[in-house]
Amino acid sequence: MNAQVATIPPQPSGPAEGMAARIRNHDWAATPLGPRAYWPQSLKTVVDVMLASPSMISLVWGAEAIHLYNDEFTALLREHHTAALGRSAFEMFARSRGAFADDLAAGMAGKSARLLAQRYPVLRDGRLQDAWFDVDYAPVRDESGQVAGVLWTLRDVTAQVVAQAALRESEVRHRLLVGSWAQAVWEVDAQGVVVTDSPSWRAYTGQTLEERLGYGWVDAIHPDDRAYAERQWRESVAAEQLVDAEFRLRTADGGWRWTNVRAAPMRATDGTILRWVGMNIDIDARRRAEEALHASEARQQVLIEGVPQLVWRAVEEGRWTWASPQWTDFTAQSREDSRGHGWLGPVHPDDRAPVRATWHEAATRGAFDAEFRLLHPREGRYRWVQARATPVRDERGAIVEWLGTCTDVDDLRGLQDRQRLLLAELQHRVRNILAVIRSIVSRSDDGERSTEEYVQHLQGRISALARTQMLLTRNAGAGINLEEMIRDELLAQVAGEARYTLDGPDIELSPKAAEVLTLAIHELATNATKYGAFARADGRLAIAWRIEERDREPWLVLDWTESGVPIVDAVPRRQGFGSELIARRFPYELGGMGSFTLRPGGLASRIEFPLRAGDSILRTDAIDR
Amino acid sequence: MTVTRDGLRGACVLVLEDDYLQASDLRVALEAAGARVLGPFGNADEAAAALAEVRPDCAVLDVNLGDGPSFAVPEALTQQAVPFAFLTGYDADTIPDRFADTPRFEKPVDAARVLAIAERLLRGT
Repeated sequence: MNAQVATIPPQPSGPAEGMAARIRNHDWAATPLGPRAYWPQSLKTVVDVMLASPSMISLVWGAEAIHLYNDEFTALLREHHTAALGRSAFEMFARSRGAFADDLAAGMAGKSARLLAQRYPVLRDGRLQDAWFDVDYAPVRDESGQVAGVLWTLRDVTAQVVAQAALRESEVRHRLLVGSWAQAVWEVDAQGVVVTDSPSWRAYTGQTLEERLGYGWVDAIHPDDRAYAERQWRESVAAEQLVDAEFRLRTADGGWRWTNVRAAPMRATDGTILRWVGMNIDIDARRRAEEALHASEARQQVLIEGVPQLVWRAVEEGRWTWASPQWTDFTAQSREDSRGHGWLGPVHPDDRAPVRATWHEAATRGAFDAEFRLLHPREGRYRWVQARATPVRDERGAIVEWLGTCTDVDDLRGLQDRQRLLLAELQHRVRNILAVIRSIVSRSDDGERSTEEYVQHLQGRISALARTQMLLTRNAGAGINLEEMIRDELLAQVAGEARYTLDGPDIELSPKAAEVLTLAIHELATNATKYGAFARADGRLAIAWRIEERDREPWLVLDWTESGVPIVDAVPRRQGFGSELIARRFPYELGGMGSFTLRPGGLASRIEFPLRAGDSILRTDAIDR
Repeated sequence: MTVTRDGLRGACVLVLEDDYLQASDLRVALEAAGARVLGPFGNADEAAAALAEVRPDCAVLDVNLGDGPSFAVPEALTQQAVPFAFLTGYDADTIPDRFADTPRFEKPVDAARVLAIAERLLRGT
């Protein structure tokens, strides 16, 4: 056996003097084992095997637990590697006796065992570090068959243990990570069928394992989403693609929550799918926020398309990016054509430059405000619109875009124009009437009448004016019926209907003609009451009118014929206000003629003037444009 | 009422006023003051026709001549450098900007006022 000892190769990592030499040279006579020459053959054989083995081996022999070991084992003994040889393990490792005493006793009792992943500090590369070993122990029997010692074989599993620990740590990390944002984690088989349990799925959905197995998990999906979810799942599994779908999932409390399911195939090294791993991420808050946003956007859209304004979006210098359907409805220009400066197309050519200039200043002013004319093809004309825009700014205050509207103010402007005109006309009418009254007042005083007579005359004339104004203002813009007007004037003179006859076609007088004629009829009626037909019991008045065509213009010819009045009574003392009105005012204001003659039987007057529509003190034609 | 104004004696004053009674009052007052009246005219066409033949020394014009504000006569007067004033029932904003500097008198005006206006026009103040 010595020869065997001699064959032990030098241990490169071992101490300077190998364990074979140490054992050979050790003073065994001083130990309970006695000199080597007297050792039992079994001991010698085991020591030889031990020294020849590349494994870490130690041998504890006899009731005194005398310790022998090979070079490999010395790493474990650290500084004791030489001192421990041939000494009792109980003495040498008195402090850690508890760690091996039971196993040693078991070995001595004939048992063997493997202790997995035992951690021991070892001296390696000059440093003390943790190492893990699978430790086998087995009894060694002497020639008598009695257990005489225990052989310890250690296999260094440090690399394996470290790798496992790292893997475990990595798994924990992943589980923590996934668990922090996934509500359920699960695995299904290669065909996508549920065959295993997922406690997190059960906790999240309230489904039991039995309910979930196979395709039972589909029952936990909202009925409206089931067909979609199942189709997505089957298609992805068939195509071996990542699964990414969103649907509503029943929660353990019976409600519905939006979930994002993600799953990926786990493949073997040859590429075949072993199974699918997946998880559910709760996206309920996000989905609800999105739905609220969509609803809000939809409402906004309805609002934008429902308001009468033309709504648009623009960037700097008024370059449009979007126009609401109302724009197209108004201008017949498509949204695409309105983009950029295309919207200037329907703007009145004269207004384009000013509007662009306003845009040029808009960014500095922080507002856009303009009125311009916009072509309205349906009406075949331009309509005034008021355009306004406000900037949308980012968090730093820079203008991102402009939101603007065009409001149709054409009707409003028309009404404002009309109102201005009406006010002007009203002013004119009131001031003109005051001027006329002033004139009548001075002319009513001929210096011969009594004050009582003067007042009576004046009142009569002002009343005639008032009646005309009343009729004109009652039918603003309309004419006055000739016969009604005459009846009113005769009625004012308290003339009975039996005293006069009226004969003529229905005629509407323009406001101005009515004003002039009314005062003339008033003067004639007043004269008839004082001196003429109505002043005598047998006096009669005939008023007849007709329309004659003269120079392609219709003329009114009105004859006032009194009868039953002796000529001497009817002679006016001087030419008065009434005769001036008839002879002068008709030519001056209406381009007509007026005359009167005194003949046997009474006064005869003829009034003629062209009937012109819109011949008005109130310019109704101008107002209606 | 008779008002004498020596400044108007012999002057030719165009009167454009469509209301006969007012036109007549103006004529009477101006003639009483010694002026000659061109017109009065009840419409712009007649006044324009007269202006083609006679150059008055000054003019008083009613802006509203039945069928709306008419500015043909004031334009002709401006061309002939004849001073004139508006007699109007309107507020200022219905008169075009180019006549913003034209003296304007709102109706009703009495005869004395019109004579004073005509005199000022003749003096050029």
